[in-house]
Amino acid sequence: MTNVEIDKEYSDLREALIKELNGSCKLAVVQAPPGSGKTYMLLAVVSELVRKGKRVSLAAQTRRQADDIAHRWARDYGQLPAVRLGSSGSQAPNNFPDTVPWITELAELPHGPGLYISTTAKWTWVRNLEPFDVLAIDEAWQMAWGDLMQCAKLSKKFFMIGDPGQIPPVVSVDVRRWATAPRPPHKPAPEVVLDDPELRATAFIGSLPACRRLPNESVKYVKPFYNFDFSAYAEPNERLLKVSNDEPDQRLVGIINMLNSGQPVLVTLPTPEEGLPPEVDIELTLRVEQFVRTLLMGRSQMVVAPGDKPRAVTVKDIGICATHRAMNGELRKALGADFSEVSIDTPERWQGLERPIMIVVHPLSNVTDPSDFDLETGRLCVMASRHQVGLIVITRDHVGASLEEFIPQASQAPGQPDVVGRGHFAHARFWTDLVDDQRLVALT
Amino acid sequence: MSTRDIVRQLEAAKISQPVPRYSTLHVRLVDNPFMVAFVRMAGESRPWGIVYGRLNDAAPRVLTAGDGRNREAVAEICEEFGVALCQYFRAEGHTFNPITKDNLDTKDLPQIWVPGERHVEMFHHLEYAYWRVRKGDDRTQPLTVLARLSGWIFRESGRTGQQQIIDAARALRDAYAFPADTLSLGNLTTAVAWFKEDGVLPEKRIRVRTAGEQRVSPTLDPGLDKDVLSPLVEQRADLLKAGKSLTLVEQKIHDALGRELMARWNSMVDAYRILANDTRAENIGVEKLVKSTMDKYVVEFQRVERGMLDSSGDPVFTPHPETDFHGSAAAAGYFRMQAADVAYTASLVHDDAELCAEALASGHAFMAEVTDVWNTGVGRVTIPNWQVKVPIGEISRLREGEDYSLVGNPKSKVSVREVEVVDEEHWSVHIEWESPKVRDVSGPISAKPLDSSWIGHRLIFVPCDTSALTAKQAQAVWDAKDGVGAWLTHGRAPVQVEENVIDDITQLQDN
Repeated sequence: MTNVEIDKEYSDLREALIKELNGSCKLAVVQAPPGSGKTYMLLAVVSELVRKGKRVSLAAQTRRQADDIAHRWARDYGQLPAVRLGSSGSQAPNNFPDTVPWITELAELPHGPGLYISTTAKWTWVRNLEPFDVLAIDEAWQMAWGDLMQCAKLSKKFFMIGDPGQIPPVVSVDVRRWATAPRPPHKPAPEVVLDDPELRATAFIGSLPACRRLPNESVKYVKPFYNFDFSAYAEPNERLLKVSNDEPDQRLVGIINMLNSGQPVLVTLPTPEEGLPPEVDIELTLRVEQFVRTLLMGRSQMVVAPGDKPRAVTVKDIGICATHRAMNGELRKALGADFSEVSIDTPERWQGLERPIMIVVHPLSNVTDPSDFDLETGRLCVMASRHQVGLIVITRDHVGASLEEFIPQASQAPGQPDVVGRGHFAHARFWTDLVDDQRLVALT
Repeated sequence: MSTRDIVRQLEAAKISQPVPRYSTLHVRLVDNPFMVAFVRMAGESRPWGIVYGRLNDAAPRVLTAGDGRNREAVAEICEEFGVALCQYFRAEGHTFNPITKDNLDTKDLPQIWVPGERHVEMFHHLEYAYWRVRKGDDRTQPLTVLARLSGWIFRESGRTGQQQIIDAARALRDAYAFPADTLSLGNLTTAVAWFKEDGVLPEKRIRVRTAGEQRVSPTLDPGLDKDVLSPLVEQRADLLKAGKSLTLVEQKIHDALGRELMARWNSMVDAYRILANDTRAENIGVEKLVKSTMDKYVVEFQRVERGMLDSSGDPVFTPHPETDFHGSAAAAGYFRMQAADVAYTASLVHDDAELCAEALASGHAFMAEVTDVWNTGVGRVTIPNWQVKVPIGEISRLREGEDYSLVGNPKSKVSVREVEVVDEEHWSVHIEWESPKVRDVSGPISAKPLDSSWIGHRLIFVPCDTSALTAKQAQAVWDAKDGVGAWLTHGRAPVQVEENVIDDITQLQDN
């Protein structure tokens, strides 16, 4: 697919969504690959609806996402009315746009056309409000069906957009009781819609055509996480990353320069004979710190967008991700004050964010006998799809063998999809693709 | 497995004995609980034999069917067991003094012990087996009541913190760290053997493994099934065909099954006594969990039974054994489970130093030193604020806008207003006191939050109990049923469900 075709498909989808939601369509679901312009599309559609005099409520999944949407609205559609509904007693964060009033009391909400931005958590508590024309849901695959049910009073029409490859809503309780329920309350709301033939028949369903964030050469590695096809928007060899050769550790320099091809690099350390460290792998944290130091001290240059001049890599260009909070704490300690602006967080917190360079600790690095939780694909998918230029996946070297030896049990309820089996397949495919493409570097 | 779990396991290995997992016990041990264990024939889901009774009974009651495939014989033993169980649970219609909202007393908690998880699942099988049994219009037929009670027991067993259904193997695993893998500890005899056997680790492991060869699952040992019971069952079938007496062979079957059932019973009793002899105190928060357990029992089981006894014959909502086909019932149940999960740790953490340390290690709690205290209230309004210093690396779950309690003060609530880096070792966190504002809170000192003598003290903040808010979501789901968007969220699911089940939903909504 050429970029011209991608742009046309994108704009056709936008026009179709505007037409449908402005007409009789009551439900639209758009699935999107990572970094495909979900929020951009959402705001483009919503802004047209607001121009046509509609009142649109928007549900973000976190406060940070809601604030980010408010910023983007102020930047791109500042002339159109919008408010940010915050929690009781809260105050607008620093530098919050003046054109989007921060309101905490329902009685103070305006009544006219416009965009009303809040979080799902806040909307579920709203009562006695005049219904909106449309409820638009960003990152909709993070919203549980049970949460959507509480929003039934908000609007007659629903517009869901999200990334089905991301981490599903957190489930901390035993949900076997609802494994075979027709509409499981813990499942992502769009998934319930798409799995239900009746709801599916009433919905306008679309998908965004291309991933814009990732380098062209990285896209193939995240495709196995999705059950729909998409293209890369970036041209081959468009992004660039190069580190100076006079750094002391030439192996690390070599690995970083491998990222210049746009493909991820898989870096392995030997699995200790005495067994894997349980939560915090000190040796891995030290390696991550060395990569960060080499990137920042080695006069690295990068190009993120076509036409840009090469520029130096800064601390704000680097993100680090590990699944264990304790591991992230240790990484923070290892980086110290010099690199305190390097973002370090769990995959859950990285959703919706991006950095030019990502260094991630493979989620199975300290797991030899993966559980259902470990094989859930969302974490690895999020980790593998945050970078714009380069991705380093660092791990203990047993992962390939552990995945090969693992036999999925298909323990799901009768009639339900084999999520664990699919997760195992996606994990194994990610690993073998990198190995087959000679992207694995074994450090000793 | 967390680092703390590994350390505990190593400590246990060092002394070749299980070691306490927490500082307090998180389960209510009632004085004379009801205990039950099952065995079933290979390939069958219904019980072939049942042993039940109260802990202090002279001897438990052992019931067996001659042939585990004979539905009538199995139903007969299940019916007798069902009546005893309903009486113990003071179920409506089975006693003159049923547990109700008005006479509810946490000292009267009905508690049922089973040897392990597979026995809990037997209640699900019983529910499936008998939930449609009817004799005319009688909805209180003992097997149907047993099915409903079994369904309640099975569903309730999955609710975090419930105190009514005790899986003995799990209770031991929760209370102790063993020098063994979790898988082997699923067998109650293995877990119990770690307390009963002597010796140092290598020899003790062998003895424990030998003891663990005694199965406690409802499924019988394949060797016993093949070599002892199958020939007896075949012999019984031949005698039945020939029209001869079955007494002798059925006695042999009863004896063989009885030995198996008693092994399960004895393991359960051992597990109870291990916990009862533990010197640790019951966590103060357990009382709250017991109260919540009994409230749920009254609302979700006794209310149904009262409806069944109602002579009007109106339909009464009965949960389907498989799942909640009605979307609102499913979502409401899900939110109640979530609320229980939130309430569990929040109830116990204030009275358990080890649990608190675990919360700290996992990042759910945080330790901080108070560096400043000030008031942002205007006039007569007091709004205490603290600036606290938190070591980096121990804070990764701490986010602005989240609420915590000061440990030891379950009703206290502080809100995190701002988190910023102060130096390479610490974060500086601004917290605002929401409750109490002017009363004393206790910690290393007892003082009002606005008292500057808090400065310099290191304190632990644990997650606030937000279970009441989560529980309200269950109601919010029902409340939204008339919303303009209910066509999507509350529409009828595509699966066909019996009409009377759908009709019953109105009753659930009304309550």
